[in-house]
Amino acid sequence: METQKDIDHGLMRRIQQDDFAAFEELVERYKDRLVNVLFRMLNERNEAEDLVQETFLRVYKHRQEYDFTYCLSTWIYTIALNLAKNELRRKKKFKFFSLFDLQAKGVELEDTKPGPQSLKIILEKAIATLPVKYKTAFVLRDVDQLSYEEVAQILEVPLGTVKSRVNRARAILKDELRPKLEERRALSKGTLVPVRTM
Amino acid sequence: MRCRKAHWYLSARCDDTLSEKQRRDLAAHLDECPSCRREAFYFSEIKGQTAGVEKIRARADFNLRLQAKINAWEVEQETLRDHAPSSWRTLRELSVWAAHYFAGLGNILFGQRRFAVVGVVTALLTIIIWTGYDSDEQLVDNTAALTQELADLNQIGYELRLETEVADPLRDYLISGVSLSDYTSPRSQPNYVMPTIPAEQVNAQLIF
Ligand SMILES: [Zn+2]
Repeated sequence: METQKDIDHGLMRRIQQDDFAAFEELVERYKDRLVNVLFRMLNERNEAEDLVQETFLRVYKHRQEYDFTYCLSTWIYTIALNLAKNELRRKKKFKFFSLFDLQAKGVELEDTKPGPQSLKIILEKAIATLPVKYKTAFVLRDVDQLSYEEVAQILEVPLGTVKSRVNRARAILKDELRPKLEERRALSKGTLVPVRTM
Repeated sequence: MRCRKAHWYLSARCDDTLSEKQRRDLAAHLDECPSCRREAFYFSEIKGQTAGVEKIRARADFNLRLQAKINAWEVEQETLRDHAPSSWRTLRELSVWAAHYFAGLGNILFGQRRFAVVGVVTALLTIIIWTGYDSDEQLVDNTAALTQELADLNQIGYELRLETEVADPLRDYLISGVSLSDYTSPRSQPNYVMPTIPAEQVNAQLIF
């Protein structure tokens, strides 16, 4: 059976022969996931899209240099995340970073009515404010649902480090959301089954 | 099992990486520890909510914009390739410079039109030979560009000649190969008054 890696490599071979249709197929395969990941990293949709475009541009420019011993997805994610990290560094330098970007310029959050915010909104804000190294691991693992092995390859850190970063991120989120979670737990009368209704 | 270990197991349970034994141990601990039961609830809530967080997708014009960027890059690459030194191109440029040299030398040294004519003819031949594969528009463009270059060169030559009462700068120019772009026009000097170019010199520039 053809694995994701095989499909990617097949596409890359065609891209190396200047087959633009193959490149478009590759873009289709990854653009939404990358935009989502970078949006969670940067909290700004336009920036996220621009950086994903830059990622694909770099893939195209350097297509002849691609090393088939690696996963193409790892290569693409690494480029995208490096761009995002540079952007975060730049923002930190100029202190442009603002949590309000999430609502001001980003996605239209479903719960914008006044009154108590939904758990989902609080969670999104809490993810946005995670320290970068925990956020990166968490977004790749829990939001984009990559395997720990893939995340370790992309971030070039040992598997154990990824696990501990994801764990740490979950613990931070749990603490941030504790009051809201407690409210919901009381509603669900202490049952271990998570309640899905908002 | 200690609560600390149970918390690790709870996180691992989110990833479905617990062994059967670990699962049983965790279940046993949860049965007797209300605090960890609470944590278990929190973990599964966070997992569920994270999975439900809205997925941002690329905008509809994403591919078009990317295509435009790639096109722009490819045009840039072609332009660079065109200007990359190749023996073909070097030869062509050498010919143009030879033409310039004739025109400039004739003008500078003797103020004689025939040298300029030789230069212009050489330049034209150069263009015709080396751009033979190009389109007609390209030829027109090249001719126009060269005409302008020759006119500039004549002006520089004329200015140089004004200064050739002193031989050194001219010798520097001719022998040590000071490039024309390095030549500082007297026009850039303060208090410089533009000389009137004699009619015959002007004609020499308009020979095309
Ligand atoms: Zn416990």
